[in-house]
Amino acid sequence: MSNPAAESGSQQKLQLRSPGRMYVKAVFTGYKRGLRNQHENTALLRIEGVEKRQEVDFYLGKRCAYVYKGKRLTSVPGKGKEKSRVRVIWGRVTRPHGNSGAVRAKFSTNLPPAAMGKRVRVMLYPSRI
Amino acid sequence: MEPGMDFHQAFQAIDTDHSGEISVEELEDYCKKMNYKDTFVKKWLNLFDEDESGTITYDEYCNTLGLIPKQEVVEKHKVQQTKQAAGGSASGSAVSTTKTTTKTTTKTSAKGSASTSKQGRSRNEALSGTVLMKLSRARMFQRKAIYRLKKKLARGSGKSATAASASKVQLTEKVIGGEKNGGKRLVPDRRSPRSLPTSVPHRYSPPRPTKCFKDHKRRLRASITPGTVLILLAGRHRGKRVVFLRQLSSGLLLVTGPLKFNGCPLRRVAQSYVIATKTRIDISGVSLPERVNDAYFRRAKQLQAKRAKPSSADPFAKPQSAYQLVDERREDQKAVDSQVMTAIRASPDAKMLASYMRSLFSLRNGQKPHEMVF
Repeated sequence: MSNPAAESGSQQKLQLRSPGRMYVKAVFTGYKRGLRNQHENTALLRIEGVEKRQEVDFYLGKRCAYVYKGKRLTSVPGKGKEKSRVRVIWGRVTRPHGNSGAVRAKFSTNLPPAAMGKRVRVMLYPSRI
Repeated sequence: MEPGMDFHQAFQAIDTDHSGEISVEELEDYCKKMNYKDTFVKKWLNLFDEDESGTITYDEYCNTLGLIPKQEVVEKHKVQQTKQAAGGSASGSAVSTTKTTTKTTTKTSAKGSASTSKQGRSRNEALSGTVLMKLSRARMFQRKAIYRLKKKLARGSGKSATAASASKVQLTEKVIGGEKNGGKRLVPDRRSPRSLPTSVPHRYSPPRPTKCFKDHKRRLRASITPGTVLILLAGRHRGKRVVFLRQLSSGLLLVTGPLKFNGCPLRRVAQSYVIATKTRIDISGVSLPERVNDAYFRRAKQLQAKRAKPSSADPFAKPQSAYQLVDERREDQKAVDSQVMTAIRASPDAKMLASYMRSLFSLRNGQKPHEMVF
């Protein structure tokens, strides 16, 4: 799509706007665990605004992303020349956890423990509505 | 069955030889083709076959659905039936007339007459995953109506039978050199194979045949109908509200901004990356250009460019991968958008709808998507 703001041909100059937040805020609370053992392959997420197990159904299967910054510049996928410090670990919401609206998620690689208490983005896709 | 296909067309689609009746075999073939469950055949017979003849005639079909039989369809069937009656054997046509007058005792004999026009089609099939056939030898004998054929053969004469057996092995005389070899020998034309299998090789067929992508069933959520306003969730047009036009044969959704409203062109979008709102625009009057399909949107193959590389040594040549706006795209965009925009302006709350289409969707604090009605 050509940049509408720069296109001289179009009569209406559409401002290049970006939408606001297109994801639901969630927090990585910890790994799936018993009292004395934890299993790092499954992360527990608490999604903002979700207080009951019944409300979780909408979020099942949704992709989630842990976004963080590194020190070194890495290439941006899809744009060969561009480099950025932003990095992502992608995952999916798999199932509810408990009765209070917490959720389990599995990521492509286990979330680093430094991510605990940090923001995880739960996207609105794959959408079922 | 494709959506929008009417019942008359559906009948004709199943009744592949256009005999005017749907036989069990035609139902089974259709069932396999459309990948329905096996109960489809029984359900149809229960629903439509009133006189339990084992076939669903066009009249029975129309009666059950409460339709008026279409004249041209009925005439087509008549033509086909006369063709069958003329072309089929004497015994075949005799059976077909008796079938219509009396209620048949065996379903198989009825099918036997109907299958005179289907040559080369196997009346038997293997049970899935095994070598065993569904119908026994006795059943097959009945189905093929060999009892009639045998009578005919017997009447014809015995010579045809002997001729058949004689023609099995053709021998030629061959001269052989060397002493005491008999000089010449009768040698069969076709040599028997060096080794014969001791048992029939067991062909394992997968429990469910895997289909290639083009044969996959395309599904569309009930919430998405032509004219629905969709919210794009990802990609460079994320947050934009676009109009859904139709689903392409690949399963992807064809949408348009319209371009003037939000900068989103005619585009393909996957269902999963879209939220369907309850807002609908009446685009029944919108006709899409014929050429807008999956091939239209496919990216140009880069293979030719790679092959041409060593010969055309121009290191400063720009790679062909960049998308070039083509005139036909502009044309189609204009054609479709003008129609869609008139449809938007024609709707009762046009002004609000227009500004709605221009706006972007995003989540705000306190908003819970699981509670939102889109």
